[in-house]
Amino acid sequence: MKTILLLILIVLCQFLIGFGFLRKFKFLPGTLQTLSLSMLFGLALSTVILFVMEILFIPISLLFYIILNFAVIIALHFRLKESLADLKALWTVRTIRPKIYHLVILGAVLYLAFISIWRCYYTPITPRDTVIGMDLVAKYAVEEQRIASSVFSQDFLRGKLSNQPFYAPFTAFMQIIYRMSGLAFGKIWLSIVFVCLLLFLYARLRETLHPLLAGLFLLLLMAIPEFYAYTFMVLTDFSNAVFFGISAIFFYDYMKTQSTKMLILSAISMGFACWCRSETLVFAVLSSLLLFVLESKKDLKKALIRSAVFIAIPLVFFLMWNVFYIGVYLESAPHNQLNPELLSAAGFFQVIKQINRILVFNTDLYGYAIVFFIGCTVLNLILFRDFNGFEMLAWILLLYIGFAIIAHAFPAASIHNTIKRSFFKCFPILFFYLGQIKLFTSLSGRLERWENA
Amino acid sequence: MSKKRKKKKPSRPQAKDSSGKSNAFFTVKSLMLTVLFILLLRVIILLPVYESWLKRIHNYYREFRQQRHALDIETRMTQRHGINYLIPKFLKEYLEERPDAVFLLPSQKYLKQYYPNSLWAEPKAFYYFAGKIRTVEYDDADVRTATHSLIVDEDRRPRLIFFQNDEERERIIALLE
Repeated sequence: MKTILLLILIVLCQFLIGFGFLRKFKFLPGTLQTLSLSMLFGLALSTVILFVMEILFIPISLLFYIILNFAVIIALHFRLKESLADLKALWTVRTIRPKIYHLVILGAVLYLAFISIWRCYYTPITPRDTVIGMDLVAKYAVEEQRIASSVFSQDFLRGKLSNQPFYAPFTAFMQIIYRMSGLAFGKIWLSIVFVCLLLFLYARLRETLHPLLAGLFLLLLMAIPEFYAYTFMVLTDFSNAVFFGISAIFFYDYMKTQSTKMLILSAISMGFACWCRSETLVFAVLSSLLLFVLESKKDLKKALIRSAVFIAIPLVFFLMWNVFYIGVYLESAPHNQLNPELLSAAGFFQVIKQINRILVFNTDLYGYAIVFFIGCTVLNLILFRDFNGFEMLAWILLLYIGFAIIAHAFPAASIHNTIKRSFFKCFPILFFYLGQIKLFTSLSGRLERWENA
Repeated sequence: MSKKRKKKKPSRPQAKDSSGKSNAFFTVKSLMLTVLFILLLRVIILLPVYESWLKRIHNYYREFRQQRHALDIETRMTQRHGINYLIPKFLKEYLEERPDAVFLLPSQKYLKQYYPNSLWAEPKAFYYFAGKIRTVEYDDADVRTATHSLIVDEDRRPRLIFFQNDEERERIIALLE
């Protein structure tokens, strides 16, 4: 009972932090989006609080963590009346027209989500990388009330730590926070990330699609076998994919509206993605270049400043952990070997060939998601000559190039493991893109018209 | 003369809202769309990849019906990690009562001959599962402070041993390398 109450308190704090943060940006889209984004941003921001506690030598305990959470909540919701009004508005029921098919969609989604949430709660930490990495760090951080625990100073482990305990901190920090609540395995935060992704993506798809198509895309996303498996196995990749996907979608919003706040929110989401997996910085650089290319036609100076901002925020997250914490605070240098034949073009193309052969068309791993995406994209171009959502296509292409760069540059990033899971980044973007193209928006329009005729 | 008040008829829910969209939960068309959607899902599930994936999900559901009655942490750890959890747990319980004991961790190479999926003897995993018991590896400088170790006997069963003398320790170090 105590654990459940503490869990509710932690989740509530994280939600309020995320909600307050979005309010500061005056960005409160529809109920589903605001709820899910508040929770996701709250989760990420609460790990930054934990990081601050560590570097200020504040003991990592639930009491201090909650006190600091309250302090941040008070700072973010200083004008309480306005905050409460916004919070109340969130629950104001808008025009909801439930139809019989909603039940089918909801039933299927709930069944899959329930299985995932149960397994996430029930099964202990499984992946080897998490056992000897993030959860090892989390377990001793909770025990010793310091993230720089005996894991990093124990004589017996000196020189035997390899890379896992030094992975980007989001997963380990989430494990610390949820283990502090009394949960034996932590983990349940991963289900929160999963549910928030579903809510957010459904809300975004519904902006352009008929509920049946939005529901179908959501189910197709959930039915990607490898993607689904990592909704209950704790590693860094799933949460990384979620923040990366949000960043790409906000980037798309920015290209459509030219709203600076969308660009900043996109960069912050990218920063959180780097906070989940450090090598995401490669994609942040590529996206920043894309932004520069797209914007430089209009205004060169503005393009330069905006792409600099876009890369600066993720870079701060990267430096905070990889340079400041690991290098300066822990005085460690995890071993990251670079490919000695880094400039070999033949080697690079060999990697691309392997990625295609082992991953891209591997239906056992990704179902027919990639085949479906390619088929629909080609059909859309042939039938409609439609270039809507071109920026998302560019992101997917950048991802593909980024995977090849990482697999080529770092021998430790194996195609069978690291790159296989890195592909998760594609999927939310891929289905969001399909929701924007004429092939499906016109089909949605026809369905709506027929249904309401 | 008393005027008869006309009773107001309760207003029917409007069939369509201002945007012209139907408000009704159940219409023939929405039923047709539902049937179409279910058929589409059925076709998708018939694809071999999704069929086998869904079988796995249904298996998870069957497991859930048993798991909800076995919430004990020990059971869950044992089911998931097997010997990777049980051996370090046993060693922890045994060695914690002997403050002077130093455990010699068998090499991965040695253990994998008997247990190919063995993870527990990796130093980080051992620290995760067993906690802070004094441990050395065969290539550590202080390996000769070891008092206990674990070998696999002829029946492929793990056996904890206590070094009676230096010779035995040397023999075991050589064996476990």
